[in-house]
Amino acid sequence: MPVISPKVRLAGLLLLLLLAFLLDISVGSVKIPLRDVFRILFSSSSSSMDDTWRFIVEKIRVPKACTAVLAGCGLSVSGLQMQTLFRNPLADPAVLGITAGASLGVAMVMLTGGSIATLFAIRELGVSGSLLITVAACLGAGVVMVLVLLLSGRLRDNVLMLIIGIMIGSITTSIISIWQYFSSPEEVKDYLLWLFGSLGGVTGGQLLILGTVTILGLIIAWLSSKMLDALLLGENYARSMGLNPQRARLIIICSSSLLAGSITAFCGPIGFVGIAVPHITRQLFRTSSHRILVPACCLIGTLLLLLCDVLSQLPGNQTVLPINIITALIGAPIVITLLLRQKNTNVF
Amino acid sequence: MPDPSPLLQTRNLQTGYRSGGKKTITTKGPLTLEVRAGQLICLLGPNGAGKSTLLRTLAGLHAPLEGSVESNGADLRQLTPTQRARTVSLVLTERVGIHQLTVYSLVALGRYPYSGWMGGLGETDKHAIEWAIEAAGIQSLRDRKLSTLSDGESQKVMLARALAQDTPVLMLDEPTAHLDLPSRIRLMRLLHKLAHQTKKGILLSTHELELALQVADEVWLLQNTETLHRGAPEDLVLNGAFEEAFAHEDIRFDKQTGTFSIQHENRKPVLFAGEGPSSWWTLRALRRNGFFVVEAATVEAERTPLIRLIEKEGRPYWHLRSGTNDLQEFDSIAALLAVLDQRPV
Repeated sequence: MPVISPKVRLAGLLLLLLLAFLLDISVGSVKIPLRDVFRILFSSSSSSMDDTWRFIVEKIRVPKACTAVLAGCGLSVSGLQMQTLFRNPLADPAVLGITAGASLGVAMVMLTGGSIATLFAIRELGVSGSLLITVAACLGAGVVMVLVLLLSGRLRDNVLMLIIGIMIGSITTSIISIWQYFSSPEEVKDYLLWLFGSLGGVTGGQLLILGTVTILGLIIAWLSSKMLDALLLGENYARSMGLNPQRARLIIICSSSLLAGSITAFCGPIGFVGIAVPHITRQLFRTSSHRILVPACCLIGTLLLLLCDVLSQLPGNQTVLPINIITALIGAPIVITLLLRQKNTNVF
Repeated sequence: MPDPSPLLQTRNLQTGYRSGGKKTITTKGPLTLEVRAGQLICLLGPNGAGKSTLLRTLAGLHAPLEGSVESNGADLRQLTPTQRARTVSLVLTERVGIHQLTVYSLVALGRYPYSGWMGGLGETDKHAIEWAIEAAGIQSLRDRKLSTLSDGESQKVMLARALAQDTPVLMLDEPTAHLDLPSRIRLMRLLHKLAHQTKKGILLSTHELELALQVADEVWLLQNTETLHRGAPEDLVLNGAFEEAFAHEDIRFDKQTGTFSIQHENRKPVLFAGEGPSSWWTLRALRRNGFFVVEAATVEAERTPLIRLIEKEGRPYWHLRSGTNDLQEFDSIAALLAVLDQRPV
């Protein structure tokens, strides 16, 4: 493999990402020629003919692509943090029950609030409603993660830790199911739709909240890359080098819960990005340094999610598939191929 | 010569674990230990004697049950993690299985307590890394991935990482555990040289008794939970501390050679005559196979097998005469043993 410096690779990815972003904006159930998309994006002059298209591009497609960027970054980085913290290549926000925790938070708001708090109603409420859901989801994610970590302090074995994470996830999911069982069909339907995952529908103020929280989480993650590097050597080595394990865990949990929690709140539990992207990134960049891995995960995660979103539009069709279906369909084969190509059993 | 003040010292130390109000003592003490500059100390003891716990306690990673570990008059447990990491560096037994990491990046991680918020490396850091790579003798490995290293190489890389941490005290937990004999010797010699040249205090736990006797300036000998003997290795051999610590019915410690040998239960007497290196190896083989050499006067010479080592054209041959049988000649020890073993004694 030719030696390409990480900076060149990052730049190349950035270019690909721009293309994917434009592609994502130009496809959809309404056909808008690429030339017109550009015109709408880069000029402010409006003719009456443009109005519908302008609305579609500015109010639907651009926010959706932005959501894809945020979710791609957040979920991938959260997965990367989990894999390093637990020193387990299978760890990701979904496997460790963190997404389930966020779902529980969302379910609590949606299902207990009765009809006032259904998804539709919350969207109607606008910013304050989505803030409520975000806080609930982040809290749910955080609680599960603290629980997993408290138990991980008692266990040294990573595989046991993973099993415990899965168990906590199952308990959380069961609690949600009980809630669903006693809820009205309308409330359950809204919740089920949310479960399919969607990048659409996050607009205006909501996008601002999602963006702020995600960027905050990403900054914390990026600043914690030195800690993550040290944690790669295991907790004992990390401590001998002067890492404060409690503080490091707290910082990483905070960042990861902010990312997984807020994205799950707005887009539903999007699977697979969190586990797949860190693997793809490590394989492509051949490094363990988180200073490179964190931004690289952002780029690859965004690229993957944008492409998945393009595919979910089913070009030439009016139907839009839920994003969750596409991420697994695309992500799983990529991970399998990469793992088959590598000789080592160790992925880090 | 004025006695320099120790780099690390303990006061009334007692190590062990505390869980749920119950104390499990691993080393009773009270221990008063010192690690001085330029000293290579070997911590020896049978499995389960509490070597690792003592090491972790001395490194400040584990709270002592009683007493304290001090560096420059300050309790190690009271220091901030960074201050502690600038005092003691560690090489642990656990393997670091991060295959995408290069040797250079791993050594650079040793600068953790000095580098900036994002792990950025300054000129001082880069110098320290280069020095550590050179001191550990791993210049040729610097761009290799960890996955491509042998056990011996990866142990040296972990040592370089600890050296880059630039601490007065360096501790290694069983650094020779997975290494073959030449690598073990090389590593021990390297550590000995480092202690004397860099004036670091180096403390390592090991099972390599014979190697430790050769390179250690001081030996700390842990004997199951009770006591810790410390002193020059030779003194501990002479005052019987070694024998006592590893005392076992099947194992005998030889004060002459500083080695352990396995004691067989049903030992059979033989008579032996011969000299030179061939004789040494013959006796060794006999001992291993449960024979012991006796003086002719002490046994019924008639019934005891007699082995005579002779030399023909520069090659050793073994003659065996026993009881009424004729003299037999062998050209290898294996052939001699095969016949000896079938013989009823």
